[in-house]
Amino acid sequence: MEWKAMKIRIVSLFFLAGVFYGAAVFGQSEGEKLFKQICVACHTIGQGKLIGPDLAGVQQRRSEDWLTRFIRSSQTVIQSGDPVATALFEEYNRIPMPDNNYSDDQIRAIISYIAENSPGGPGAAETGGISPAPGRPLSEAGEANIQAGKNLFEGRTRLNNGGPTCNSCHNVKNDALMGGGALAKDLTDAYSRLGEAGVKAIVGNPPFPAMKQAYQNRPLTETEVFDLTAFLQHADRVRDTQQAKNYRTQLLFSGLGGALVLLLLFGGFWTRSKRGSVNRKIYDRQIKTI
Amino acid sequence: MDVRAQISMVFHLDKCIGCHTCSIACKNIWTDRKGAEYMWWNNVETKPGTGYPTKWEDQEIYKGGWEKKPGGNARLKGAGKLRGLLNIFHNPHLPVIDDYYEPFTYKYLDLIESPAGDDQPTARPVSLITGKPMDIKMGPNWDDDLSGTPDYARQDPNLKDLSPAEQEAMFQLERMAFFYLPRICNHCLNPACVASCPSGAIYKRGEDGVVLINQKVCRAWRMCVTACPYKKSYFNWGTGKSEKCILCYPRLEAGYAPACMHSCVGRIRYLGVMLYDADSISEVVNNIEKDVDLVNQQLGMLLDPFSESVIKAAKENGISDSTLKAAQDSPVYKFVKEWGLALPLHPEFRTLPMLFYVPPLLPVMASLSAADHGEQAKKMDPAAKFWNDGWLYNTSTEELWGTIDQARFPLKYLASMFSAGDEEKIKAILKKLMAVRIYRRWKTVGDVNEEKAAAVLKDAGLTADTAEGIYYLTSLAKFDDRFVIPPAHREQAIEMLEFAGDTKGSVGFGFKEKPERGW
Amino acid sequence: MAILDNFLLIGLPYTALIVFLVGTIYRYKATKFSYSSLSSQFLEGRQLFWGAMAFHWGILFLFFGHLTAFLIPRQVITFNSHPLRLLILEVTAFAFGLIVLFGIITLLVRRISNPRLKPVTSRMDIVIIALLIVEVVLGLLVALNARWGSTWFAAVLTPYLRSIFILQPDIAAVSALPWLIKWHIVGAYVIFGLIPFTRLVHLLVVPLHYLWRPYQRVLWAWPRKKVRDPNSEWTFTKPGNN
Repeated sequence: MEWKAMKIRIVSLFFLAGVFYGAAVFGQSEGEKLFKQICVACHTIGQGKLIGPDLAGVQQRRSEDWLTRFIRSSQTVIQSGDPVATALFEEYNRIPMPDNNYSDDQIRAIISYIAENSPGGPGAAETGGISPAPGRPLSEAGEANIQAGKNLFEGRTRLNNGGPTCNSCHNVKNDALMGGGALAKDLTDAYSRLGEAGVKAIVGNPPFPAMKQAYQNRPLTETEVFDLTAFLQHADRVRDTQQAKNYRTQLLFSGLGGALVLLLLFGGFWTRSKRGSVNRKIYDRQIKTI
Repeated sequence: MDVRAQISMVFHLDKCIGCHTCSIACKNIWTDRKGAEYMWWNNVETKPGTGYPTKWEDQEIYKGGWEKKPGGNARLKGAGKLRGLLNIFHNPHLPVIDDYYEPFTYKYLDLIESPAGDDQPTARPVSLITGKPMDIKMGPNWDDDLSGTPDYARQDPNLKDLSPAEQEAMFQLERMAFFYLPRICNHCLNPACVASCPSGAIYKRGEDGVVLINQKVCRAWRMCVTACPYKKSYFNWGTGKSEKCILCYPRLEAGYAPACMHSCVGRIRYLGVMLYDADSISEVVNNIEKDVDLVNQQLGMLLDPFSESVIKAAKENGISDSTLKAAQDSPVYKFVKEWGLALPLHPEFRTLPMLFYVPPLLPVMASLSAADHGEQAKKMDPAAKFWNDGWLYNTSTEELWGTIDQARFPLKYLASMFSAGDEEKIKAILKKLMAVRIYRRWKTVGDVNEEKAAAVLKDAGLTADTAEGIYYLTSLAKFDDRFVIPPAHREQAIEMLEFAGDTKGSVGFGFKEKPERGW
Repeated sequence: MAILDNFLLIGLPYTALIVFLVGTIYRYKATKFSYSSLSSQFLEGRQLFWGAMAFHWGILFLFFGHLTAFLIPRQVITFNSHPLRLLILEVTAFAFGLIVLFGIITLLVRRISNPRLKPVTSRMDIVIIALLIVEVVLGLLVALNARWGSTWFAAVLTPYLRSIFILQPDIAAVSALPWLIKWHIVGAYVIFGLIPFTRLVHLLVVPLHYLWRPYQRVLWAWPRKKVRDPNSEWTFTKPGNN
């Protein structure tokens, strides 16, 4: 068979197969697991507002469809001009709620879990509502905690459960630190934005998909959360006196320097190679004599 | 003793007239294709000269063959396992197309179809690579017959051991001499191309020793081109595969001589089976320290097909009786072992080439015509007859070996080509060749006396019978004398190509897909 | 957006993988002759030195860098936890990225500008070089703008890639990453899927077995010691090197 025709056929066949296969969504989990994994970082049920609103009875206040849309992509709902969503966004300091790519069943499970634990629900009597564990109050933090937090942030002290170092994605403007990453948000003013409970909740149980993925199976310990929060509070407090560092330009130029060194190495290692053709000399001499 | 059979060759350089018929026969059959136009699996060079590709013998440039440091094993000079893989992205010693020449043709159609005009239409040369008009700067035989001597012949790498004075003497216009060197793949016993191929595409056929490149396995890593010190492995830039002389194996299997040999008008080529001891390859290649010893050692590996023990060992190794018979009748065995007339080309490359050359006597003899006959006449040996008409090829000198001793064509030059610098070996062979001539002169012309003929034979270590044998095989030999091809056993012939089940119903040499460039 | 993400991050990798597997195996079986690196060094060697050396060594380093972060993410994260080590790794990788870019652009310029190379340049050559340039530029921008990739790749992308390989794709984390990174990932899938249709197949036949085989190869049509022995059985299998 003509290989070129075959080529097109193979491509189209497997393209379609791949699309159908990929579109099928895998995985299944219960409401409680999901809520405690994700939502609890910013929300309570019947324990007052944190970074986001208290979700007690939310299933009665909003329709399931609205909730589904909002959980999937809050920003889409806000941009669509939904007045309720916009109001909430403004009320909660314009901190966007991360998108969650959940199936309808998963979202239904979360909502029914909220319903169960809302006041009047069957679980509420037992639990008295759901909220993140409060932990030590930050007022107890001393210089040692800030130092420890700084070391954890930068990676000089390894995170206990092997999670990646904070500064691989986050930057904090602080003279004592190497410049951090640029993948995720700058955390210099995180403390004033999120407050003690918010920082602790997010650090201890990250709701953002990428960060959640990074700390899955290797969560931060309670002490680490406490130290990091203390450090972020400190960094926030001193931020006006610190210099910003531009690591992008530095990386660019040191990379260029490195590339030059590599090219020189190639040139150096292969100096004894045969350059050009043997006949070149003969041609050149003949041209000269003409 | 691991006895194996090898199809081996002898080229008698005294008989080569440099007509390039062999090259054309080969080209028409095998390399008249896109990407292969520049390849000459068989080419004929003028020596002294730089050859094709230019200066191929200079391994300081091309890094071909094996090199051996004292005490160590021989290793590939420009390739090898680690080095080959490190250089796989860019082979630093690879010859480029300009080392050969840019293939070209002429726009012949312009001669016929140009519109009428004031000027005579011309056929402009066009490049066979780009298709655009080009200036021809080089061709496959650009330095044929010593043309462009300052650029080519003077650059011959074999001249490096000659003193400047010797070189000057060689290139005086009136004294210049040359001979032709036809070259094909040597089908070596220790092939550097096979050793250098990272893909393992190149192999030596066990049955007859032909070295082949499996086109389906070749991945254009280009190491064989560098590794072959004779530059007889070529890169096809069109298909992205290496190609080389296949010794016309489809013809061999059918009992025909390879095309270059069959078409040779000078009948300079001989082909036959040699038996050798494969166990001694490593010993010779790795343990012989001095290059000059290599020739004797290589000749020592070649076994006597008449010896009982050799026959027994050969049979144990599955060599058939018909192949043994062919080995006993082999003209190559006679030239190389029995008569000791032929030497391998550049044995110092340590690939153990199995193409042997009878060094040329003519440029040596021609030297005498420039000698002072007047003085010679006075010292004339009474046994010799003297002509004073200054014949060019004078076989009757007053001193038996005068022409060889006073050769204007330095033996050192020939020694650097055929015996890794050992002039005595060349001299012995030239003496034999000359002795046969003097002996035959006595027989047929009769102007040399018997006494002298006997003296030269004795001095050269020949008997009258041997001289007759050499004379017969050199001058009279018929097709079946020159080419003793062992019958390819029918049951094996197809198997030599590939698995029989595949071959059924397929065409040609087993290609079921077009040998087209991939993408 | 979710549909696009699903398509690019789930559909595309599986499509690419299947096309790659079926395509390369079919091509190997049906047109083995076309498996070649199609080197053009014979026609032009000088520019090729800088282009091919920089490109190949650079891409090897980067490929194995990505592979290391995929295979042993924990060790990579630990290695990177020290700021100095992180910096060294990032700068080195970035430098290699730059020489890859330098190399591939040299190769493209060489292919376009040298008339001798025109007859040995196919359309797919240009397509794949262009794609590689885009991919490398995206990668360099990721390294610059989404620092420090060597760690977060191990933490975020490794689980994603693993989920693809164990047939339980989980794109929650990846779909939240910036588009720059996503396009880099998509570019990789596209190039991967195009391998069977380009000269890139030569990377599947890297001749590492050369290191272990004896230098000389002698092949026999028949088992030579048995072929003349009437008592030996007839066999299909050809004897190998000896």
